[in-house]
Amino acid sequence: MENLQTKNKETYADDVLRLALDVGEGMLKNGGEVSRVEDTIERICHAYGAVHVEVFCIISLINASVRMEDDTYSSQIRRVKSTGMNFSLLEELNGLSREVCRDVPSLEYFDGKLHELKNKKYGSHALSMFAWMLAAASFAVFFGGGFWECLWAAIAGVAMFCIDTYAPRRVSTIAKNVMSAFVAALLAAVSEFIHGGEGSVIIMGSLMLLVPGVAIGTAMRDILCGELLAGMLKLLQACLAALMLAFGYILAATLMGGGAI
Amino acid sequence: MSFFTMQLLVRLITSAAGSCAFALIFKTHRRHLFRIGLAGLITYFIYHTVMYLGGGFFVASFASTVFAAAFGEMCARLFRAPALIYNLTALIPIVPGGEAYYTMRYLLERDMPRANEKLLATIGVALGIAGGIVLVSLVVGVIGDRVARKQGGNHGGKH
Repeated sequence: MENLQTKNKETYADDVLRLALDVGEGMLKNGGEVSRVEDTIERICHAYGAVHVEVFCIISLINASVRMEDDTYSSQIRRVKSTGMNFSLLEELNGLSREVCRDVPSLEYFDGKLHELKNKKYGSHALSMFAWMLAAASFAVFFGGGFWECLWAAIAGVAMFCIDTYAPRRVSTIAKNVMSAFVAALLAAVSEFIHGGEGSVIIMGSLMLLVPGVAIGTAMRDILCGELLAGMLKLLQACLAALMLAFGYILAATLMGGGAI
Repeated sequence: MSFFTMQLLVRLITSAAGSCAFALIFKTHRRHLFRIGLAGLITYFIYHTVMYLGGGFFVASFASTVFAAAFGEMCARLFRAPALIYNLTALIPIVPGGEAYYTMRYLLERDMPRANEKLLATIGVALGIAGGIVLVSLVVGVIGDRVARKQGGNHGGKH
C-alpha cells in the first residue's frame, strides 16, 4: 500500500467510506444486487486499510461503518429512494471497484473516476423507446399474436415508454403502472375491434414491460438465501404491481363495455 | 403433437429478440447483446423441452434457470461483467409476469378456479427460478472457495 496518499489522517476513514459508499449506492441505484453491494463496499474498505468493516444493505438503505488501523472510525448511511436499471453503469462501477481494489490508487483518482462515471450519458431516449417497442412486440408474437397484434403491441410499447419517461416525478410507480395497463388494454380493445383476432396477446406482450415476474423470481431467491427483508420487500412490490396492472385492465374493459377482451 | 412446430420456432426467435430488447431497456452495453439473445433462446428452448416431456412448471423453470444462471456466471467471468446482466435478461422469456397478472385479474373478477390455476403456475415457475438461482449460486460459491484456497488469496466469488 505504498502508493496510498493519506492526505488528511483525521478524515481518512470518512473519505474512504464515502467513496466506497458512492460506489455501493451507485450499484444499488442502477440495479445491483444487495449482496454485491455489501461485498463491494467491504472489499474497497479493506483495500484501503480498514481493519473492521460492517455493512448492512437493503434495497432502500445502506448502513456502513469502518474502523482503520489507527482506530479512526467512520459510520455513514445512504438512503436510496428510487432504483432504475442501468447495466452499463453497473458494469463500469464493478470495473472501477475491481481496479481500485487491485491497484489501490489515490483517493483523488478514485473520486475523479467516480465523477466521470456519474456524469456519463448511457444510451439515448430513442434507443430506449425502440427497446420498449421491440419488447412489447416480440412478446405479443411470442404469446401467439399475428402481424396486427405485433403492430398494436409496438404502439402500446411506445405509449408505455412515454408514460414511464415523461410522467411528472410525483406520479408514483403504481399510478404509472395503472395508466400503462389501461393504455395497453385500450389499444388491445381497439385492435380487436378493427382487426378481430386475439386482443389479449397485446396486453400480455405489453405487460412483460411492467414485468413483476422478474422481481418475483429474484425476491424468491433473496428469501431462499436468507435475506428475508430484501426478499419480502421485493415480493410485496411485485404483487402490488401485478394487482395494479389487473386494476388497469379492468378499468379499460369496463369503459369499453366489459367483455371487449 | 410434434416437437418442432412453427410455434416453437416463432417463440425461439421472439425469446431471443425479447431478451435483447430487455437488455437494451436495461442499458446493457452492445457487446453483451448477442450472448444475451442466445441465452434467452436456449433458456426458453430448455423450458419448452421439459414441459413437452411432461415435467410441469417447477421442473421446467428450474432446469432452464439452472442453464441461464450457469451460462450467466460463465459469461460474467469470461467477460468481466456482473452476472446479473445475463441472468435477468435470459430469464425474461420464462418469467411468470403474465401468470401473475392473470392471477390478480381472475381474483378481482372472482373467478376462483382460474385464479387458483394461474396462482399455481405463477408460484411454480417463481419457485423453479428461485431454486435454480440458489443451486447455481451454491455451486459457484463452492467452486470459488476451492479456487481461492488453491490460490491462497481473498475469497473467490463475485467481483
